[in-house]
Amino acid sequence: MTAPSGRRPSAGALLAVAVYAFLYAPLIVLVAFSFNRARLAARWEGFTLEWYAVALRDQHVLAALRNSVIIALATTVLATAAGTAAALAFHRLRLRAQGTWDALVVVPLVLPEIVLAASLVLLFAAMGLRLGFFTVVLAHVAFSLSYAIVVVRARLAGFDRSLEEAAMDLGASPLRTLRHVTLPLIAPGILAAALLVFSVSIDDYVVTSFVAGVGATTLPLHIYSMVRSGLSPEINADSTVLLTATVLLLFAAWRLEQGRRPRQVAVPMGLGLSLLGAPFLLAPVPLTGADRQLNVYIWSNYIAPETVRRFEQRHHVRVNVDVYDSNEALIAKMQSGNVDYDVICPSTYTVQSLVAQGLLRALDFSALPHLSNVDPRFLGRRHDPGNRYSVPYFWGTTGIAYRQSRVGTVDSWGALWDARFRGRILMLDDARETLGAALKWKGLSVNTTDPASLALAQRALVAQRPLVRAYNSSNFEDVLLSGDVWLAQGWNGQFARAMAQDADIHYVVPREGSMLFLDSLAVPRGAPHPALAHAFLDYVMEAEVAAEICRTMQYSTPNRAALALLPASIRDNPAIFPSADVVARTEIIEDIGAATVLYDRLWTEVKTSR
Amino acid sequence: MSPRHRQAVLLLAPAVLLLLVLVGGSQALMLVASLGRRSAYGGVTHDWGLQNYLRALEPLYVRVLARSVGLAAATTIACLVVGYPVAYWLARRAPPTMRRALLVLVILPFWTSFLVRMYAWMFLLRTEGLVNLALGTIGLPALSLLYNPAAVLLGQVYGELPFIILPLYASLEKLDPELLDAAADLGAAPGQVLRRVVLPLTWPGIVAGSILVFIPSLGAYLAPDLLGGARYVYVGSLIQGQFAVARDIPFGAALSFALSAGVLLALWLLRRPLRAGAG
Amino acid sequence: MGRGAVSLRGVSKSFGTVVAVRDVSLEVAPGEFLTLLGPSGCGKTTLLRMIAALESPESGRILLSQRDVTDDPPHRRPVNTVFQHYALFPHRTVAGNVAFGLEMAGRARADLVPRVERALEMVRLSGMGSRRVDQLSGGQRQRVALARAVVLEPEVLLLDEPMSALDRKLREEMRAEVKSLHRRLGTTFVFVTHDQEEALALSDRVVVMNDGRIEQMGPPAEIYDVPRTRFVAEFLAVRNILSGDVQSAEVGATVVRTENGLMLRSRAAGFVAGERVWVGVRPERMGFDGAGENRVAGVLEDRLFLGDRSEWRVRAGADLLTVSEPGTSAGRQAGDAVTVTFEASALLRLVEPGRRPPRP
Repeated sequence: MTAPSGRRPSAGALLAVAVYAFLYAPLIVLVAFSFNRARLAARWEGFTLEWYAVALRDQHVLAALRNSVIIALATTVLATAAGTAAALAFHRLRLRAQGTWDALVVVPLVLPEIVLAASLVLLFAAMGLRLGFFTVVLAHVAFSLSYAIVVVRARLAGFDRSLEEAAMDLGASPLRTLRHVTLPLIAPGILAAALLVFSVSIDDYVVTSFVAGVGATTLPLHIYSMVRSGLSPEINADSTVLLTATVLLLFAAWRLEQGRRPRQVAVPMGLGLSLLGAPFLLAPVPLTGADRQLNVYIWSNYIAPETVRRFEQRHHVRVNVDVYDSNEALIAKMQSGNVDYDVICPSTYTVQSLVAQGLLRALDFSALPHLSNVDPRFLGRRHDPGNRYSVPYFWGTTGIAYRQSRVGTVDSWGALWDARFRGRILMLDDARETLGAALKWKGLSVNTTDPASLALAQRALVAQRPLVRAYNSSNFEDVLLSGDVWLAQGWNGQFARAMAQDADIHYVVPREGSMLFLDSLAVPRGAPHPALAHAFLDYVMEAEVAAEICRTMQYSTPNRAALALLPASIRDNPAIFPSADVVARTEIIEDIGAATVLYDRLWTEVKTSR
Repeated sequence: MSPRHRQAVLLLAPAVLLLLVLVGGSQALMLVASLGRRSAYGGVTHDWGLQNYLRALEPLYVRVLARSVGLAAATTIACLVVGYPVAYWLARRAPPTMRRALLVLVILPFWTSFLVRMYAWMFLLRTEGLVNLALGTIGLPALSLLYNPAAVLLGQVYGELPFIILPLYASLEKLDPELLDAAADLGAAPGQVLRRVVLPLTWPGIVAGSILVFIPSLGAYLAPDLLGGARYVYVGSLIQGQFAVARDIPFGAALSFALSAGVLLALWLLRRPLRAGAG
Repeated sequence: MGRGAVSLRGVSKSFGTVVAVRDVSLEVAPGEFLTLLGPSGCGKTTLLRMIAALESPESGRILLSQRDVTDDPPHRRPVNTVFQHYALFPHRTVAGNVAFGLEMAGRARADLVPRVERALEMVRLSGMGSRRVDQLSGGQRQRVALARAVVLEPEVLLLDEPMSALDRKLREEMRAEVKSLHRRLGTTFVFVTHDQEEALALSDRVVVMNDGRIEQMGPPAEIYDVPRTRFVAEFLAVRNILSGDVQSAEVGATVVRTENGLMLRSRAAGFVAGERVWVGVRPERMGFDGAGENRVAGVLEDRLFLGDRSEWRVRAGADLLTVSEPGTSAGRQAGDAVTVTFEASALLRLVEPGRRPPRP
């Protein structure tokens, strides 16, 4: 018998339906694409369960999923408990300077995540905490505690104090009053806080990426790390499973709340729990502190689980594989010196930076006999003369992929400045790559620090801006494949996969020359297991192993001996293995020290130009 | 100290300790860094000064900030306009047995990676995407839905909507239905009931929700980058870039402190209207 | 003509499977003070809310001052309500609350202030206009709610158990205040309560409701003296209710034999020989060892002292009677043998729609 009802047309209900449709539209797409045969989400190519099979077998992703759930649950318990307690205290104590306390609570909400992330690494190093599970949970508590306090306080705002007084009057001790009266009454607030905390924890990646250590890679970290090589539909399958599990559990909880007996909800409950439990059973348990183990820190999709397994068998060790999503997260961790990785996979400029800071261990070549398999073109480059600290692992080029039926044949950077293709051009969202393309077009070096050259390149980019549809460094191959753009600047590995799906797409390294990237394996100075690390480096340089890695990952291997073992479809693909004269025209992007700031500023100016 | 007082202090201790050590401690380190200079390899040199803060005030960066404030304000308003009626429906009209489940359904999409969901939006909105396919089947021309400010706003609203619906729901649920009856009985038309009674009484929820949306929106970068085609720089990607690309930690820290200080100052200056909206 | 008249014609309302009001028809005269009396859940509040348009009837029509207002929303109906929990707006001051309706009607500010002040004066709250409502006592809130409703000069004032949250002393004060307000304003009052004393004290006419229906209506004295159904009798404190068979049904001299063998005489009309009935007697119509055609032997069990009278429970065979006696009944004590006496005119004939008294 509350508000007048029935007479009003339920415009509210219609709007609610629309909003739920809005919130769930992308999830429906995601579920649909978990059954799509195509590797890239551009179009529907038929039904398949393949991605579920892949997801089930991918121990790295399963482990990441398990870690995410554990970390989110631990964070939820800690942050909700501490937050509820604090909210209760604020409610009871009429604190002097309540404003100061409020500010303390609000600050974590105001801080950009990246700032908290970078500073927490410094803090944990100063406190002598090794990066790992524990530091991730602490960091998540740091930024989610405020949500919990704010939400529970809002609930307490309407709380009738006489109820507490009644309980005490009836002989309940303060503690029992809290347990039997206060907490049940503010339970909806606590539940809301817990939900919010769980949600921000399970989807966090910025902070996690900086403070995660051995064995603590989470699912978002894995996903962001995959962006570099293209997101696999396997992630859609994983997300679908997680979504189904939570919906089943939610449904079971809802029926229980409506008074059903546990037996009546056994099916959804059991199904939901077993789906959630699967990663716990299937994923390997991370080992820490054991002697026979190796901790590898690498981009995702950079090493096949099969390759890792064979190394484990040969050396009777366990290998923990953690992934990162930016070279900066890697550098921050190496600088902090409180993480236990044995093998890392820095890009060229990162190698330079780490070497300059004395953070890498000089390699012992006597333990690396298979280094002779590596193509000399990739050895002794300027970022690590004599390869004292790093061995090449993968390489690739920046170039232009284009839709031939629309733009004809392209062989110059000038195509990206062609006014006929206005609104059909995509550029990488990266200062070094875009300025690099303009510099190369003008016949200059991509590592120049000459202000006049850079000004020239910047002017070119400002002039180009009206022609550009989007700047994108993550799923640019997808944008090209879908037809939104006809010309795209990007890296060859992702374009190779797009070409496999659409014969109209071609890739070229422009005749003016381009950028070459090289990802290397290196051993940090403080690596706990240097001998095993060398064994691993040598192992991946064996011809068969390098060929296997190249076959599964479809990246260009610098391993000459492996080429003979590759199928023609890969070996003869010009997008994966460009000809020697193309490689000769490329330049490696090097660390340019203080001039990095100048590049960033020029790029910001390009993007704020009219 | 009374036992009651002692209990409250004990309750407060864990949260305050965590916040002081983790947030206070780390930000103290950052504050020091913001006064230094970038070293050649992206470290921090001990060359103290306010140069980074002065740099943050250059017109180039002020323009970036102004654009970000505009986006955050637009996001907040759009979230309020969409979120308020939905929260109202959830709190006062939805079948009571389903309310809690419906609320959880609001937040549930957030258990799937935001990046993955942004990719899905790109798929829906692009030239040959599902939305245009649907428009095509009913005979309408395809629209250019991606890579414009509207797409950025859509992505932002998508990302922030639950954070406004939850606090709004909490305050709307507490609203005494007899007050609405009384207002109608005293001659207030539905619109007047909303404006003169419901909005003032749910003001705390509106303020809390707006803050929870506005502040993170200032730091937004995924929606502008993916749905907007990264055509403009927002302060979120600017700061992100200082740490992840330019490796200019001192400038990134200074930008972040300037931003946080600005937000805190604004909250403090607006504390009276924010609190007194109810009166 | 007829300003303030209320007509309900065949009004029904249910909530889900629960029927709150069943086909109720009722006429309220202009200026009348009408009370809807009944236990909680009897439908009285729903009926009131339908008059205020806070609920809409599923069937039936509602007329105000001879105008069909069934489909008018609440803000268009010239009625105002004093709510059970007052429903004062916490974000407005006392004056702000009283002025709310005037603002909604678009009254000019200059007109508003004196009217608010007059309304506050009327409920003896002059000078309290700037107070916040959470600074007021229960009685003061009640007065603000009254002022807020009457300042709009409604055609009908609706009061939904307005005194249920007050203590006894305040309640009695407010009772007098409401009565005098009614006299001064001359407006139609429809008042909802579950308190029979309040209903009898205030009303021109009382409507007793049970299970969504009107059980009986009439002036307070009639309802009190001649309750017609067992429900009304019980609700208005007829304590001695017995079932029995009508032995003989001569007009003015009916004899009823109760279940436990008492032979009682009644002057009430409507008895039919051989039927099974309920009969009832008010405790204050009974006495000890006095005059009266009905005499029942019994033993005193215990006593409740109520100030101006005492109430005895008397064991009479298998029956337990309640007898009221003025004063302290100092001479009696539990265990005394007594004869309970009462006039034949005191024995009421009670029916119970839909249920017959049990056969022995």
